[in-house]
Amino acid sequence: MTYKVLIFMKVIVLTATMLLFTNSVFAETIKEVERIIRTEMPYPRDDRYTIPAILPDSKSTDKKNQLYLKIANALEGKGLIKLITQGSVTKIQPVENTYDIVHQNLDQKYVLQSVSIILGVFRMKAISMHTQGDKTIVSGERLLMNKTSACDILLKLLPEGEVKDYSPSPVQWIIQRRNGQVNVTEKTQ
Amino acid sequence: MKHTDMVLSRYYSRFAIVVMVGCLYSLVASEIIFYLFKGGFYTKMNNHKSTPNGADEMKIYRESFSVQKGKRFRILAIGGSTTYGVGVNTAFTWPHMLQEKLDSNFPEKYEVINLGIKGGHIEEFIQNYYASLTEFISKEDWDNSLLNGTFKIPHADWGWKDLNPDLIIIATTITDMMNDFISERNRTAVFAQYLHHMLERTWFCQNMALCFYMKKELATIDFNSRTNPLDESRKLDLIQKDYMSHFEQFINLWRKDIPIYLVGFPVLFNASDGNNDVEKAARYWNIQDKSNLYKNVALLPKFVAIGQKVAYTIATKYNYHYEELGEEIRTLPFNDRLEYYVDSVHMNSKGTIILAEQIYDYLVDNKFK
Repeated sequence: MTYKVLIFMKVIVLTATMLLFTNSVFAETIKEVERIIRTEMPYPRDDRYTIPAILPDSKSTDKKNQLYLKIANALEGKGLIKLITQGSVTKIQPVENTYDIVHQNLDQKYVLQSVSIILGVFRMKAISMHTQGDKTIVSGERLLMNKTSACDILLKLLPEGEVKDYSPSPVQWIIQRRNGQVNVTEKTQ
Repeated sequence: MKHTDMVLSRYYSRFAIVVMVGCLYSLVASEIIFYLFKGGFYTKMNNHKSTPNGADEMKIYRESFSVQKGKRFRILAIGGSTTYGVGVNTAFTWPHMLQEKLDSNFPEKYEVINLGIKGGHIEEFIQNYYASLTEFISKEDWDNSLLNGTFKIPHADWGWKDLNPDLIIIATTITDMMNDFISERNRTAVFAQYLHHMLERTWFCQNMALCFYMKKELATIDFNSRTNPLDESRKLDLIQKDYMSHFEQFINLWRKDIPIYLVGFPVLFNASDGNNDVEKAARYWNIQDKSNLYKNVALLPKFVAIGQKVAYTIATKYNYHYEELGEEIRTLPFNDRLEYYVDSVHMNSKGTIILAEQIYDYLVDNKFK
């Protein structure tokens, strides 16, 4: 009798293990999804805000230009850039040895086109996932690590709508597979 | 023969003679102007303000240095923007890090001079050998300035030859190759620029300039146009030939007893990378305009291959040591490779540290003590 019970228990344990094993092999785990997002987006990556090197008109009422000027003035106050005003045009002049915060985008003639202000490094964390047809929808968060000294200045000056793109925020990734290719799109919430 | 036909035939024969004489004149005159522009005579006939080691003369270099050689073993780091340190703070340029590493192990023994120029190219290096430039001139402007700009290029009264090095490290550059592909020149605009400058000159100079332009145009047509995007393999061949001849010309300037170490640096894109990787890079750096990245993914691996071929050929011919540095970065998966670059060409401090260490290892292994 005891022998039969033991065999029965053994069968149950084996079946359960096999079920668990096959599930872990064939089902897409959150870790795998995370790996796909990291590869495709990619993560970790710099959190950069780009300003054109020449701001056309300081008196213009264009909101974007006004915002760039505000940011440029704040960065000049921190000693990260220099501003040169020529008539109504303001030119951004980078300061030597600030590359870890202000990246200079040069063209093929090495003329400064824009500067990218590095706020920190974006990392990601997937929290939950579900499938919807051929799409896998992953919810998670984007973390901002290694913040630079320009981070707080920028996040204070950016309008509410833009802040989420440059700050830690909940994110949704949509993974879609077509013809053996993976396409990932990212939405900040 | 009718009268009109006779007039026409006379007209054509005269026209042919004028063209032939014109061509002959242009060829001879342009050869003379070439000679004048190629350095020797030109540099001798100009007197320039002499302020050795002055701040004005150092504009194109990342760190200042003394032209006068001291007791230390002098190493010249010659190269383009990666050597100059585009994308990194001064402390993280590879020549600076090499100097620090040498100083910590062999105090007061070595001196590394960073002669890297952003957008540096071999023709410019040749000019710098005779007289160091004091202002950055892009390759495109350099090409366009052959007629007029050369006289305006400000340079110092010392050249790289006066630095008396004990070892020269030359990094292969890609600017030499890039220009023809990346920025298609507007020939009409260039000619208009020439004419503008010619008006300020004497009759002789104006004619010389015109002949030089004509020769350049004829040569361009003969080469089946270097700006024709369809003829890529031919263009690459021409670029390789040009690069090889300039490189050899530069190497031959130096005394034969000075050892030369040739190095090649990796770029972001490998030949197997494609448009998907461009999208990743654009996301990684938050770049909206991806056009340059698309050009780079298609062309950079080809330019690097040319650089490697040329450096290998020269190293074999002259018995120099040549090494492709950063091989471990080159072989990484694309995402991991991205972490070493600030753009598709230039490395960040994480990458330049590796370059500096590998060069240091070479110096120690080869007993440059």
